[in-house]
Amino acid sequence: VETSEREWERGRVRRVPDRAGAVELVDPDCASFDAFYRHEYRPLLRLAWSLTGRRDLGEELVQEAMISAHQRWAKVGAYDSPGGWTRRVLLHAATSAARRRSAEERALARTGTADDAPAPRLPDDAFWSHLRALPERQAQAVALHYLEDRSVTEIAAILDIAEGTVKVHLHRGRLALARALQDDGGAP
Amino acid sequence: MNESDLLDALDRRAAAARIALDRAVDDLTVPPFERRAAERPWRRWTPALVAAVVVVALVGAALLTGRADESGTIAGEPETPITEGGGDASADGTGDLRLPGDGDGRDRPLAEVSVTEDGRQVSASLIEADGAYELRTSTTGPDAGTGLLVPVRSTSTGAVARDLISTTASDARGELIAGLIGPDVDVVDVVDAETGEVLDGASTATIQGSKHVLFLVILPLDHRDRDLVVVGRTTGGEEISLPAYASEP
Repeated sequence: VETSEREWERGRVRRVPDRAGAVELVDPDCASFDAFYRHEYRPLLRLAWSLTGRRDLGEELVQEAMISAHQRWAKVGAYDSPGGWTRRVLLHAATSAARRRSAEERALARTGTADDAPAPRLPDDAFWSHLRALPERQAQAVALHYLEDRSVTEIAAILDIAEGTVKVHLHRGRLALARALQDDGGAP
Repeated sequence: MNESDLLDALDRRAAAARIALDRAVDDLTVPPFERRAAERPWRRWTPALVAAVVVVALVGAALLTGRADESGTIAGEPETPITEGGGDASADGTGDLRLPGDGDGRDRPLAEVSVTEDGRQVSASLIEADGAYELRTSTTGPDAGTGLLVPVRSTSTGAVARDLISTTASDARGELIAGLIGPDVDVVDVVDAETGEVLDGASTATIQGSKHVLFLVILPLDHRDRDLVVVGRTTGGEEISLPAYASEP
């Protein structure tokens, strides 16, 4: 089903200062798609890699999100934050990919075969694997918080949820993550 | 360690993890953007599609005219009954998905089911095209367009998607789950895999000549994070389930 661009537009990210009030974290001047691509590729890959645990899958998801942005660039490029829109597409794609992967793993487990394709290791995967074990929305909110220093307002706009809900997700997610890491190794 | 100290320690650990990830990502070369892949398929294939449509229309018109002359009916086509609201468990069939059709090369809906919600109508159809079968969804209203196309059986390999197929897609307004389930199923529900909670009942349509049914359900977006299972109940009380994800031959 084709996603309605009007729907995305309603949830777009507004330009807001970061928590320190000094640096503008949302998209800088990305007038052309090429500039946008070059500027956003690595941050998006960082987000996708941390949330999927696989670099190859993260790269695929980034390309998928970038293709969506490119196809609608006349509209998306005019948004206050094309990056916010693209992140939402990326997170949505990551959700679908995780669901597919979960099903694939169950199928592999049933057939007794293992997916032993070598994948580049995620640095400090102990931390990120605990993050991925959080409920999906919590994991996304915490990843945006730690990886991109996103404010509650920005996270709410990207995830298309209320700011109060983001605060709850962040609090519960961070606490659960801290406790999981503590149980794992004595201290986060 | 109290909560505040725990969170402070987490912030420090997260900062270290982020630095390590930053280094790994910074070492990577940004690949060139694949513009060709980003072209809208309809743009890339428009010339070929237009040519194909013209050829199909001409051949179709010639065939229909010839058949109408032979049989004395307007189109010369046998009618394909479409029913909604329940499966026909009395049809003959085995556990495998068996679909009618003689592979005569024309698009033909074998069954269709639709759901209307918030002014838009979402439909799922099982289409026979060139002897293969596809599950096709389309939307009318504010988000008009054709969506999923899932092959059910390939004529080239003869492979059949076992006896079950399901697929999902979502947009900013809801999640669509459509597919085929059977045999002998007449009630289809979408269920939370973890809690067993029934989230919604699907609309169904029978497929003539098959013991399977076509189903379609639209769920609110807040179900998106759940692990969903489609559960069909047979007339004998047995449950048949399949995960709500695409399963292709």
